[in-house]
Amino acid sequence: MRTSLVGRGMLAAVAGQRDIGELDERRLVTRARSGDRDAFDRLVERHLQQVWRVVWRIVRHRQDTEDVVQDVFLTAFSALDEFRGEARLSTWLHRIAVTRALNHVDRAAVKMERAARSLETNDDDSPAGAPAWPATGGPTPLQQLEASELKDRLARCLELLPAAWRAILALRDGESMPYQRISETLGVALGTVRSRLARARLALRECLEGGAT
Amino acid sequence: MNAGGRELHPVEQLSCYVDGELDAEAQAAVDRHLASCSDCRELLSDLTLIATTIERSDDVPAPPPDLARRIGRQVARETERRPARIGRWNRPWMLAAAASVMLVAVVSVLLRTELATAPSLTRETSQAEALEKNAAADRTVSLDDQQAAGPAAPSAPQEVAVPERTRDLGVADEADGPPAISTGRAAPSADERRDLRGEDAVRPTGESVVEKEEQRKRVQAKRAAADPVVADDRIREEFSAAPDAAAGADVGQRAFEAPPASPEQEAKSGGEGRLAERENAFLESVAMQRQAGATTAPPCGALSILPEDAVSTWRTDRDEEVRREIELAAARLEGRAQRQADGGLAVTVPVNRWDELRAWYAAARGQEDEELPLLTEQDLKSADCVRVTIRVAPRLR
Repeated sequence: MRTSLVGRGMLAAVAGQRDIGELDERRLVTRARSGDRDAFDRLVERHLQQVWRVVWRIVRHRQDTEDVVQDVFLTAFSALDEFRGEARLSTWLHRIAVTRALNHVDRAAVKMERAARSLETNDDDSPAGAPAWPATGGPTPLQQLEASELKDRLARCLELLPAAWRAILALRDGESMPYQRISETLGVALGTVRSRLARARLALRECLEGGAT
Repeated sequence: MNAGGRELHPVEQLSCYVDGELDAEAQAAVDRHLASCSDCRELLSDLTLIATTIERSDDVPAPPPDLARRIGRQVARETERRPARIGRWNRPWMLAAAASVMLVAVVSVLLRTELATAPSLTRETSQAEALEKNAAADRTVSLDDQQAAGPAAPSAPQEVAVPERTRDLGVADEADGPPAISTGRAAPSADERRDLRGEDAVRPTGESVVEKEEQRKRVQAKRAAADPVVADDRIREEFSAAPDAAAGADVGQRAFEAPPASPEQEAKSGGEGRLAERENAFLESVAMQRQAGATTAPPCGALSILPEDAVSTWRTDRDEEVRREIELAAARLEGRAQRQADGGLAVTVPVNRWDELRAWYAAARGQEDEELPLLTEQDLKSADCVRVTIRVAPRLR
């Protein structure tokens, strides 16, 4: 009983801290809107790491990531009046970050995406858009790879993926975002999140296997 | 999970399964399928491995330690460079204050106009001046009336000094109703422009509007014929004052200014035609300012402008006119056209108006093919706005 009360007390304390954090953030946003740059600096400090990770996972180039991240926050400052507080500030920032990062990736990435569409199997006659899965035999090559080798290949394959797919992987696997929040961040339907994520992972698997054989 | 005798594998569901994003029923269905499908078990195992590897990946470099500070400095620089955009003129009360200031200026002009149109005027030059002032009053009195009839603008600090020249546009911009050019509407017709000027809304005492208008035109034509440069300068001075006055509302950019005429244009055009031309240009700029002023920020929210590198060149001998047409088209499509140093225009419109811009652009140039590119599915998903650069260049001889 005692433990339970302590546990509940801790939970309440954590929830309280979160409320205070959100309240504090709202105040910072209000102050930043009225031109208080210190308040905006604090918001930058709060969200920089997350924004950096998301942008890097899409752009995968350090200097470019720096440029995009700066652009993201500059854009956010200019557009702060349009942030209505209906979504979390982090969701709003992520949306800017993803859009800016995707914009930054040059047209070659768009072409790559078009080429990558050929990876998508012919799913016209598949139920619910699920692609047909070719039968394979034996153990998968991925499972036989050393962890370090897998990481290296993964890094190479991620660079080859279309930026839009990298973006969704960055939000899901990089930031552990639930699908609903990814949908809000990217402004796409939940079904699109599901299918895009599945396609991205499937393409990644094929790429990894290609490198493994 | 069998269709037409062919074994199908629920890739999407497996991906959701890895993330724990399936409801109980769907999860049970996948479990049943997994029990009988070794391929899917392998796939599930691989998908889990991939997700976990990305999740645990430590290949993301740390941001530079001074990045936050650099961002802060950049924001500071940007704030200083663009005070009109950031945190200053996008406050509604400031716009309202500007409107009130303009109103004060208008009232003072009206008072003077009343004095200037006293019946003792007999000489033609005096009459001409009085008529010209009456015409100016026409453009403002009606607005004053509308102010009185409609909701009152918030009061502004009365001690603010107002240059007299700023009278017309500022009040029209703030006091009038909906924008003359609104979404999906064509440029204002002659009647609409007259409404905008408020010509019919005012009935100066003892003088019909028609008579006065005719008299005004006669006198101005005479003045222009006698001294076109002087007359034109006066008009230009009057018209160019307004955009400057409204510059603080983040719409007083070059794109919205009435264009100054070149010496060649001066020589080509006559007094009356020139007046009409300038009046049109001015009124269009008013309409555009109102359109731009309807939202204090670009319609795309400055969030996601595609790096659309489409550049189109419009070869024409009527370059300035074409630029104005482009600006108006952009305004009608809830976008904007910003003039570049090289005379081109960066046209930005919301993604959902892009096709209309393409169609307009082709039609305006008399082309059947739409030269501007189609958007890809990716573009539609990832951007709110699209930008294209239109270069306006002389025809090739």
